[in-house]
Amino acid sequence: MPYFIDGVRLGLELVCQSVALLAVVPLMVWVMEDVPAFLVGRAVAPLGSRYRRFGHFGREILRYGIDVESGLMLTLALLALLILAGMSFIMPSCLGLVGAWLADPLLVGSLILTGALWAAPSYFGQVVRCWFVLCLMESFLVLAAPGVTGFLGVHHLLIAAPGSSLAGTALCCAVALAFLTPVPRREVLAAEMIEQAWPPSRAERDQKQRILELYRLGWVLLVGDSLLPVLFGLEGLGSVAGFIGRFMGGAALIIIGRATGLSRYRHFVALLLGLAGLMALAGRFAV
Amino acid sequence: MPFHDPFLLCLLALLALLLCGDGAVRVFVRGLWRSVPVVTWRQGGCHMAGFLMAFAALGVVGHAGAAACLVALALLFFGGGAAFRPIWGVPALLGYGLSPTGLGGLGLMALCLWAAGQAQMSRVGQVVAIVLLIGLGHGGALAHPLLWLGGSVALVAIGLLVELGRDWEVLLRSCRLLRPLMLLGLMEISRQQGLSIGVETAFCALLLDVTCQTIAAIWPFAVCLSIPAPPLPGFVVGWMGLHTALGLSGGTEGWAVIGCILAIMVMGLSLGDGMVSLREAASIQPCKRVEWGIGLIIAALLPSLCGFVTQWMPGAAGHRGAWFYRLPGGDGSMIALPLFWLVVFVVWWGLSRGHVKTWQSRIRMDVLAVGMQAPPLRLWPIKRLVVRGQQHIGVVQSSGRALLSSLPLRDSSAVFWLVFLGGVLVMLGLAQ
Repeated sequence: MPYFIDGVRLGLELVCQSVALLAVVPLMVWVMEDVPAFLVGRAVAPLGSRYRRFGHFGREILRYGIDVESGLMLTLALLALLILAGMSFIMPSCLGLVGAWLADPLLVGSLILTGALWAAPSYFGQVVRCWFVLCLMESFLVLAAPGVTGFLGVHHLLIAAPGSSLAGTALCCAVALAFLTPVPRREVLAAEMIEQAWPPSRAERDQKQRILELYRLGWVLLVGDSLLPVLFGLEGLGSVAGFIGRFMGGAALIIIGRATGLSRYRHFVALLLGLAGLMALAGRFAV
Repeated sequence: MPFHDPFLLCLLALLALLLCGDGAVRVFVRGLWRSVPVVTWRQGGCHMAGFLMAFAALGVVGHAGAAACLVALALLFFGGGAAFRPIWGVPALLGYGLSPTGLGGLGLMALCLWAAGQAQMSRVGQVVAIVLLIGLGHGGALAHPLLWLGGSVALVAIGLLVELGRDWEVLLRSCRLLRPLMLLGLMEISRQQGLSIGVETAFCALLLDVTCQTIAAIWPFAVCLSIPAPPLPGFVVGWMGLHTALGLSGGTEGWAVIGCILAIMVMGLSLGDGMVSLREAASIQPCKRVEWGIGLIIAALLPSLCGFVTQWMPGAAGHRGAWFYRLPGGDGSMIALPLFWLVVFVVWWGLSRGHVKTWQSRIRMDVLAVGMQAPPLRLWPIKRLVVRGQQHIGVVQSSGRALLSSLPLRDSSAVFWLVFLGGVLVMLGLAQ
């Protein structure tokens, strides 16, 4: 019986998290796509239209269902976002499951890369590059803090020993990730779909664009999580605030990188990774 | 007897699975009472005999000489003269028979790697060669893990140098050969360093890797299982190998940097293997919904099953049921991948349950094949590096010659003898 109650609570918890996440997603898309355009001086649609578009998308899915293949990709995107959001409302122990046992940077990053590869196979080289960066990041994190499990482990270690080399390693890795664009942009994806003549109908193309928006948000959240792991393990309503804060941090980093043109220089990524590795080694051998 | 060794027992079980699933053997058995084309029947007979020899070789693993003879016979039955070249195969096996745990193990490794890399061999034969190599080389890896690791990398590199001009895919295909060997090396190094959880995880990853290859050999569609995309077993193999190497770098003194390099290597091998798997998956015929379902169930359960077997075989008293909701990395980290699969199934079913009935299995892996037709790996940077290195060597040589010409030593043989004398003296000094 207690297992049953725990299961029900876990389900409730996941539903709460999903609802909170879905309520914030259009806002996040607006921040990532419309705000930079607005700052440059272009006219953009108001926030309400984003919500309307997502509401339409959701209603279509609930009424007619979604294609099996797109359904799998949508599921993976939602789960990646849920893992990276790291919220907890009713059951704090759920955070240990989602935040520590699943929030492995390599696992979630590879999920996002899988989605990117599914949408645009011609991005293969880019995806491989990002994948190597993720592998290096995982190795450096473990090198800086042996036995760390997921972002929650990084959070606990940072609380226990503030100012350690782990913070520097995570920061450098976050900046390196922010300079990469694994998930194709909207225009690139549109051109790709026209070239392949797939999917055939306009509604399905719109669906694909919506799903890819989720993957793009996932990458931003990954950057934010590795930039500010301190905000990861909060509970209750604070977790939503931490989630928004992390997202804003990642978004600011990516938008700055894009606006200043720094993300065009590939050498920066190698430089930052080298720096991260040095910091991790220094932290390891200083103890 | 090998039946007390869980490692060999697992390998024997895999061989039995191969034997049951091999199409040629099935044709042979049917041909015993029905008429089948004699060519295919003879080939099936060869496979059957090869399997018997392989079983026998794993059975007499203690007697290196007999095992070597049986390995040669098995490879001959599976691949003919292409898989076993007597001109260097016999001396290599002789070396293995003389010192199975020392340098002679490299002879066996070279033989089996050569056989497994041959495109003329059937997939089943390649997997049998890998299984034989792992089973018979385990003793050598146990005695000298570093020799095993370095030897496998060096042998694959030599094989690449020999084959590289012919075919670019060789480079990627060798990833599939090298990864189990690296996992075995990691397992034995962890055992040497006393990291028991690393041993367990590396064993699980090794078992999962070889099982995936086995299933892919008897069911071509299952090659999708070894693509290193997250929820699939191919990713689990790479992740577990990576974390075992990282656990080595975190838990021991001298391995901090080398462990990291090994970790990146294991994951890179997974990636290369995944590229080959994608290319093979692109050429598969579309298959039925039922097969997709079976594939998904295998993908979800296989890592947990392998882990369960890993812990059950040595009789370690642990929390065995835990394998069905989480998988450990070798360094204390966990992923709850089975739970992840569960949630994926639930949400996926909820999203697109209306479309499952009408869904036509239209594998669109060919879309991926477009991305795979990227221009072949260009080695220009490496070639440029080599040319620059040659220039440097030339400069050093000429300056050295200028330096030597000022000395009374014009004679190059005198220089050689001086260097030789110095080397001998250094050796003597080291020996004292």
